[in-house]
Amino acid sequence: MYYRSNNTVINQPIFWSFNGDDLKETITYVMNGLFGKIENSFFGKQGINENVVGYNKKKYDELEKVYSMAYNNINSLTKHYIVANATLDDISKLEYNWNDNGAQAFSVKLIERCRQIVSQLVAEPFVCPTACGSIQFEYEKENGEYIEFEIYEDRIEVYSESLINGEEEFVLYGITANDKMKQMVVDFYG
Amino acid sequence: MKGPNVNIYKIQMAYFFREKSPIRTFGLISSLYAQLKDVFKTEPQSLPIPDEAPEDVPRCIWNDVNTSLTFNKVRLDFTFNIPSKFNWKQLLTEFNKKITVAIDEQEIIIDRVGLVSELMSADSLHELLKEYIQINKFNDAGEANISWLESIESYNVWTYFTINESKDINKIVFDINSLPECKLADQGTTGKEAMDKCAELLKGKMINVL
Repeated sequence: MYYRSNNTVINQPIFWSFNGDDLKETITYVMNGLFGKIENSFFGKQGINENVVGYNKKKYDELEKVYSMAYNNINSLTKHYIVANATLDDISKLEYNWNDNGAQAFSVKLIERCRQIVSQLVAEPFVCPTACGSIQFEYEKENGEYIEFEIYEDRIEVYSESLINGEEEFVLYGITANDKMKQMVVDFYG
Repeated sequence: MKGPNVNIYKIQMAYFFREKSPIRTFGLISSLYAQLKDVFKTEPQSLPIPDEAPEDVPRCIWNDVNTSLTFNKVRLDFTFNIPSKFNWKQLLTEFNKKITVAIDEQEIIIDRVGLVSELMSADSLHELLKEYIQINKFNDAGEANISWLESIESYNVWTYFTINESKDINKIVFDINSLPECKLADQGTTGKEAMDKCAELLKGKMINVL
């Protein structure tokens, strides 16, 4: 018999981290359910003693379901980045001349590429469309350090300003471009 | 076969507690906080879960941009991304030491450990593997997941390749874990030593991926 450290991790290796909003939602959900169940237990017709959690199998099973949901939800939490994904939704609806200056609409392929990238990033980017046909992801820190990625279908153009290296500009190509971008965001906060 | 040029992007360390261990949530959080407060810029969150709750329900979650820790009454997981300027092995050794000190302080026995690492490949995995496997022969599959298992001493070493060219996914995952039937404490091995052993195995796999 063979074992893995964590099947969830293996199936979804990029989903190890938790997002604050998801966590808040999950906890609220669990606690609402939990308190509801406990309240029902204590104020049920059969009285307190027979219905205390852990002594009433039916109630306990119900509680266990709630816990299980919490566990599953927490373990499958992904970085949804609601704002970034909503912005991508908005960008996908932009039509030709969206900037009143002849800018093109954005292709489905580019939008999908951006969604794929967003789901793998360690921090939520500020997302905006550009008139030259790319979608821009930006990060900025309080100390003034800044990094932006202009994502095209076939490449990612990077511009950064750091306290150590100053201004840098280069282009990422190929199948490893997304990974390199992902690593650069890790480094930005590293 | 020429091995791919890889570097580690993310690591998850898992410590499995002895069954029915007397875990005191607040105590463990305090010990972990004392050890890791300089690693996280955030505060640990204790989840308000009654003691009667099943053991695998999370009791604590502690997240930052590049680090994440969670534990329940069965296991503790610590995940970290590796910035380019750091050496993964040094980070792992440092974190392993801090976490096991906290666990030892609480007199919790570790029976098993697991180390899952996600690697980026600078080379196209499909190109490397196509001498042996032609993904496009599998009913035009868009994604291929290939895995195999090696047993090294009392550790399982899983290797996973994931290739999806349309989504630019090109990665390798190693899952190295001690065998559940070889309980560490019964073997006279500490959790720290076992995790360091996993790190050594990972280092070996990095040199010889295929």
